[in-house]
Formats: sequence, structure tokens, C-alpha cells
Amino acid sequence: MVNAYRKPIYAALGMTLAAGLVLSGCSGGDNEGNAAPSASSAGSASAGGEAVSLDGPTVYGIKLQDMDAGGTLKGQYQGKKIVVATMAGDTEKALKDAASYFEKASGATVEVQSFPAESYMEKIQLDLQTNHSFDSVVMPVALIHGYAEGGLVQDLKPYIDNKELVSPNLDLDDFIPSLLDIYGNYKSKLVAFPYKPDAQIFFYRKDLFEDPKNQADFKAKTGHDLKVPETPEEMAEAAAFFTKSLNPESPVTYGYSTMADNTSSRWIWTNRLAAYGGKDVDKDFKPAFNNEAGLKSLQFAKQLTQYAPKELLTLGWDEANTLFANGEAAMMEQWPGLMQTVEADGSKVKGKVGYAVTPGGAPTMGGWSIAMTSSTDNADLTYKFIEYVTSKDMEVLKIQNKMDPTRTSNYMRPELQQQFPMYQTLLDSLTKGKIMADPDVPYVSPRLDDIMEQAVQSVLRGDLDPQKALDIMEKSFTEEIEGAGISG
Amino acid sequence: MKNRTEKTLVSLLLAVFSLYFLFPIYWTVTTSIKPKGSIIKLPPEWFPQRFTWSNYADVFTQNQIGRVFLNSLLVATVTTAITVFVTALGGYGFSRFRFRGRNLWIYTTIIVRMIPGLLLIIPYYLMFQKAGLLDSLFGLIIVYVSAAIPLAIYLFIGFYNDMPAEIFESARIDGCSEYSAFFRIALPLVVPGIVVTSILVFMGAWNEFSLSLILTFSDDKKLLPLAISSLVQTQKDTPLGTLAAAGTLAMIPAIVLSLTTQKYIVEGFTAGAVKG
Repeated sequence: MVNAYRKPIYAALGMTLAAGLVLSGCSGGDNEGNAAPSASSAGSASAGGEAVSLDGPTVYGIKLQDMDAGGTLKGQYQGKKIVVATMAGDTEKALKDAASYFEKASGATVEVQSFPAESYMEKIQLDLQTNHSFDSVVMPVALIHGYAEGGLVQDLKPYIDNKELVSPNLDLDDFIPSLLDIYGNYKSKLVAFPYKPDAQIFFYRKDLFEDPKNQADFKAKTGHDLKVPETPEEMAEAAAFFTKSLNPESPVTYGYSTMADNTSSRWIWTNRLAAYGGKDVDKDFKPAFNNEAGLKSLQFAKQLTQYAPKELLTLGWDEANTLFANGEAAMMEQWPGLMQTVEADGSKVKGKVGYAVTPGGAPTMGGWSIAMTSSTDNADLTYKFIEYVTSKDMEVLKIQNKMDPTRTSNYMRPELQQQFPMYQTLLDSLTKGKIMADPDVPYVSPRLDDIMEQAVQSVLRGDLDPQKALDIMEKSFTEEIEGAGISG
Repeated sequence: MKNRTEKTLVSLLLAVFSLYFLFPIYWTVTTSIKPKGSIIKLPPEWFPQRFTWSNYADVFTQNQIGRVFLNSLLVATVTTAITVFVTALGGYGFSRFRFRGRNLWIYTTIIVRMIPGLLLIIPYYLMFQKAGLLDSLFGLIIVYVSAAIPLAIYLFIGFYNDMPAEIFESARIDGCSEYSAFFRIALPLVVPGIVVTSILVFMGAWNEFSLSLILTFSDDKKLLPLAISSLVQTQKDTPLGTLAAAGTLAMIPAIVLSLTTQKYIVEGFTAGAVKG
């Protein structure tokens, strides 16, 4: 009887041992396995100061040339290792792709550690404050600035000023000026380089706006020509025309849509706030929206709900994009990633969507930057990595992982303009953007997001008068910011 | 007549519950083999019209699911083996012997179970940092074993309490030592309990997310729930097909365990697991 039960026990032990052996086999390669450069990038690195010969790949028809950071990477970091932390997914993949070339050029090892979207912020912050295992972090801009306020990331200027270290191809002026300023600078320090730009884009149904019948009907109804809206007033007029409940002749159900669940509704407001001359906070971290600009933009956000689906306040990324891809709405404000949904197989609006800067001409900006931690033991090497992955040529490489460029010169490349027709609009939007998706206030940015969401949602639902909402927001902003002891 | 109505009613209820529990599994599996365009179709495609393995290909080629699957298998198996070994002995001791402070130890062990796991994350993190156990599968196993012991020991006490004391008295009269009474008498009788406890501990470790998120860093130490969670990105369409494929793979151990140990599960649940 006892023997009968030995078998399962042996089986369990055997399974454990087998799994252990397989696992050790898998992880035996460690970082070397991850970091192996592609066969196409054959090259040789030496620690002796000779320039490496590293053949760059051809991406989107562009042969990448600057694979050794202007000759400053010569395999001199052999035996050293840095750890870069970010969110899992495209950012991680883009960093890993660039790291494989960087390792070849520098001789160093780069480990990219990534964490799930829902929890990477807490994880990375915990490590920055306690374990200090990261040399570099790639994070949303507001968080990087929070780390800068707390002294967790360091100023990059000393490294840029080090002529022995800096790449001759760095060309800081090539970064889109607003990006370098908003993403990189914090209290007179350059605490990060822009890594992934983002701006709200105005998407519209080209086929509807170019349809002669719609143009004639619009002219008859409004006395104006039907054109892609550039001002909030033009946007409202077009949205009303394309809303079936207001115009039964409309070929679509809704004039306007966006995602407006309780994590994203504030952008309907901020997309017009700067256009009317307002801001979320000023340079001294004081609320700067409880004024005419704030009121007009919030009233306009409320007006837009007339032209939007009833379930607007429940629409997240997937739901809002699906609704637009199903051809239900004529216009939508969204992050650039919407293009992938509308151009995918099965989309009813494939090839029918145009894009422009958001009406008002001051879109909300998102964006991620790359910074060096204050606790790094390999500061020079980390700086070289940051410089490398944001260099002109490496930006082209990261487009493969849906990371758009942050440098003007890349938006000007004919090969990219041809393959990414939206780039001119994106460049214009990035250049004109003035307000960040998350208020750029250290420590309390997520809390301020919540305050804005509650107030904006209350207005959009009709529960709160716009002026009352602004008063509440201003009071809560002030309490939170003062409570955190932050001052300009 | 009454009997037949009762049977029909029971069958109907069972059918409803089966549907309720099986439908999510059916939907996950079918979603995993649908092409992207069919997944978000309205009205939904209840039966897949076209099949594709591309979601599984994505899971294996782009997300290193093979490695994390093995990591999870190793951690869950070792956690289960250690926990069951320790608690089968511990539960026997608590059940069979009367000693000073016995109840205090039992309650102390069980009270640990009542502390929300999230409260322990930061202390674990700081302790592991000092001990050099961060980013190690061994460290995770230690945490999971300590988290699983209270429940497992509670279950085993119940299983052993259900065994008639006369069996052990007879064994002693026949010359059995306490050790041989445990190995020759108690252990074979508690096999259904071992199976039930093993499944609960294994599934607990297999599905755990929060601790592995905080205590591990590198790709080669990731566990399955973490890797699946990493498939979802902000400002990007949720990869429903890939998620469904990864979810289907993650279900395999639970399904295999349940089907192969069904007999023991029924015995285990009726032999003390539900008693105090």
C-alpha cells in the first residue's frame, strides 16, 4: 500500500528536477542570450580604443550609419553592465533592439527590465528609493520630473559638456524644441532626453468631408464651406452637422467621439484650454485654469457631448477606437495609435481617415523620456546609452516598435514622410502642444489627474456647473500641491 | 413522480452551473484561435468561422512564454512539495499530540493567514533586499511556502482529526513507533487530503501576481501572471487574441490536475477539508 503512494511522490520529485534542469538550460545564456546582436550587424569591438566597425541595418529604406555614436564607442566599457527599467511592451522592445547594437559598440551589457503597464510606476519608484538597481529609467514625463524633484535622477548637462564623452553627432538642437524643453528640462536642469513623443491628434472622416453632397448640404445649412475644422467653433459646427439626432440626413450617427472614461475625459477640456490661453499649472505650480480660458474650454467640452455617443463617459481606448473604426463617428480626438486600429483589416473606415492638429491648435501632449538615476555606478556608460538610443539613426530603428521620432530631422526624411503620412501632422502637433496629459507637478501628478477627472466628468454628466467645477478643482489643486510642500 | 421532478430540477441546475463555469473557458479557447478581425465582431461570433494559430505563435515568439511557463511550473511545484511535506507532518503533530501551547501555536499559524498579503509586500521587499534574495525564484518559493503553510496546516489538522484514534492505538499495540504510525498508517490514509492541499497550494503559487511583481525584476525570473499582464499596454489596442492564447496555456495545469485527481478531490473535500 505504501509502495502505491511512492510513485506519485517520485513523479513529483522527478518533475521538479526536470523543470529545474530545463529552466537552468533556458536561463543559462542569461543576458548574453538576450543581448546578442543580430547577425546582420557583424562587427568587432575592442577595449583598446580602436573604433568599432559595426554595420548598421537598413530600416524603412534608410541605411543607419551612426552605430558607434560618432566614433565615441570603441568597446571601452567591456565588462560593465547597466540596467534600464521601463514598462513592458513596445518601449521595452525598442530599448532591447537598440541595446543589442549598443552592446556591440560599447562592449558593455545592457539589461532592459520591464514591468506590466498597470504597475510599472510603483515598481520602478520603489526601486529608485530603496534598492537602487536601475541605472536608467524610461517613464512618462511627469514622473521623471517628480524623480528630478526628489533627486532620484540627475542632470545630464555635465555629461554633455564633457568633450571626451559626448558624441559629436548629439545635436541637441535637432530635438523638437518644445519636446526638449517640456520633456527634458526641469528647474533649469536637463534631467532627461525625449524618448517617445505623443500628442492628441484630430482624426476625421476624409470621405465625409470631401463628399460633394455633404459639402453642399453643409453650405446650405450653415452658410459656410465644409472644411477640416481649425477652431473650436468650426469643430462644433461640423460636429452638429454630422450628428444624426440633430441632422437626420447625417451619414454617420455621431459628429464627435473620443475616449472619456474616468481616466481620460480631462483631455477633452485640456485640448482647448491652452488654445484659449490657459494652462493647468503655472511655473510656480499654482493652478492657472480658473479663468476665462478654463471656463470657455470646459463649456466647450460640455457642448461636445451633444454630438457624442450617450455612453461617452464609459469609452476607454478599445471601445472608443472600435466605435470610430466601425464608422459611427465623423471626428475623433485621440492619441496617434488610433491609426493602427482604423487601418487594420476589418475596419470599416480603412483608407478613409484624415488627421490634423486638434481644433484650437494647442493639443494635449503625452510623452516619455529617458533619464539617468542618481544612484548609478556607471554614469558615463549610462549617459552613452541614453545618448545612443535617442540619436538620429537609432530613432529610426525604434519606429519599428511604434516609437515615433523626437528629432525634427527624422520627420524631414523623405523615406519616413512617404511611409508615415501622419508625421507632418504629428510634428505640427508636437510643436504646438503646451499642456501635458498629466499635470507636470512632482509627486502629486496622479492625484491631480484624479481631481481633474472627477470635475470634468461631473460637468460632462451635467451634475456640476463649469464654473463650480473650476472652483472645486482650483481648491483641490492648491491643497494637494501645498500639502506636498512643492514650490516653484 | 416527485423523485423525477427533483432529478429534472437538479439536472437543470447542474446544466446552468456547468454552462456558467464552462462558458468563460470556451470563450477564452475559441478567442485564442480566432483571427483578429473576428474577435471584436458585433454581433459576436459564437462559433469560430475561421481558425488561426497566429495568437499562439505571437505568445511564443514575441513574449517568451515558454520560459515563464517553466519558471511558474518550477516555483509552483517546489512550493507545493515543500508546503505539503512540512504541513503534512505539522498537521499530524497538532492533531495527534497534546502539548503545552498547542492551541496557541495553531491559532498563531492560522492568524498569519488573516493578514492581507499586500501588507507584507514592503517588509518582504526590504528583508529580501538585505538578504540578497530579490530577483530570485528561490526567494519567491520561500514567500509562497510561508504564505501557503497556514491554510495547508489547517486543512491537514482537519484531515487527521477525522481519522479514528483507534487505528493509531492499534498500531501502537502492534509495536509501531510514532514515525512508522505516521508513514505507514496516517500518510496513506491522508492521500486525498494531500491531493486537495497540493492543488490549492499549487494553484495559489501558479496564479500569484503581486509578490512576484515586487520581488522579481529580470525577464528570466518572470512568472506567468506577470508575463500575461505585460501583454496589455497603455494607448494600444488590447491584444485579446494573444491574451486568450496565453490564458489558455495558463489553464492547462489546472485542468490537467483537476481531471487526473478528480477521485481524490471528492474524497478530500468530504474527508475533513470542510470541517474545523
